[in-house]
Amino acid sequence: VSLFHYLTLSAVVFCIGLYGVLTRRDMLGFLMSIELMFNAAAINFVAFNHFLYPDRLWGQGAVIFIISVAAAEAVVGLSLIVAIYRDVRSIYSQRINPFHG
Amino acid sequence: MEQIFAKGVFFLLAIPLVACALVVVLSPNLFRTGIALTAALSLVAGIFAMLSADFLAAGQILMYVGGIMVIILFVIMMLQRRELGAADGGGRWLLGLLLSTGIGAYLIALFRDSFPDAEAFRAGLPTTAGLGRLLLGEMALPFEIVSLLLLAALLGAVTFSQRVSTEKEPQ
Repeated sequence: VSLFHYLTLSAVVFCIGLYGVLTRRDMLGFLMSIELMFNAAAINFVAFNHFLYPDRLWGQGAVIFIISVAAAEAVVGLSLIVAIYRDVRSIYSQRINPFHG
Repeated sequence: MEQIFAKGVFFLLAIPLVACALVVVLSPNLFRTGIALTAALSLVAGIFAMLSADFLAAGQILMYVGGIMVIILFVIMMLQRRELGAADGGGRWLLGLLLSTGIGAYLIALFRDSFPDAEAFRAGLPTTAGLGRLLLGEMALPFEIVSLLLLAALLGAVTFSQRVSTEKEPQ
């Protein structure tokens, strides 16, 4: 299995996530598509580390930061979604669906 | 023989990963999307294990599948009242398809031209000690910045969830 296989896999997953970001109308699906793109980037980091610099660990260190930033992003995004949902529902009960546009 | 085995394991991980990613993007059912994303992240952990990143494989399971995905599924189950409409996007699917396939084709062509040769399969050593030394040595500054970022995210989450409840009380 060469480096090209891993890079192709990560490019495919990244583009699927990009398609989701562009077409999803609900915020939770949006967030999950972004998580998919994060993971494609992480596969790239680890693959480059494994194949090009096998005696260093900088790529894997970068992936640790990707995971922690994704955790922070998910927490803030989800709390925002919950807050918006509560707020909108309390003002317009059925008028606005925050998960649809 | 080893190469064939490695290739088999790779495709055994890669094909379900792409399928789960497609389900994440295309399924109108949010709960199904969350379950498919959980499976996809677990498969990414398998890819990490194939690339001899043992600590990252375990961390991916612990952090992503055990932490982030549980929160996302919790929010989905807390908020979902009805089935959402299909993720049609109203004409944006054409833009998304064009843009993502274009960028994907460009990336794959770039990768094929830039990194043509295959490397020999290399047995992996445990990376935990090296990663710890790296994080507290050369990467100490980003490490501290990430701790600040996590603190800010924590405060932000508390603030966002508290502001609404205090605003609702006077009404």
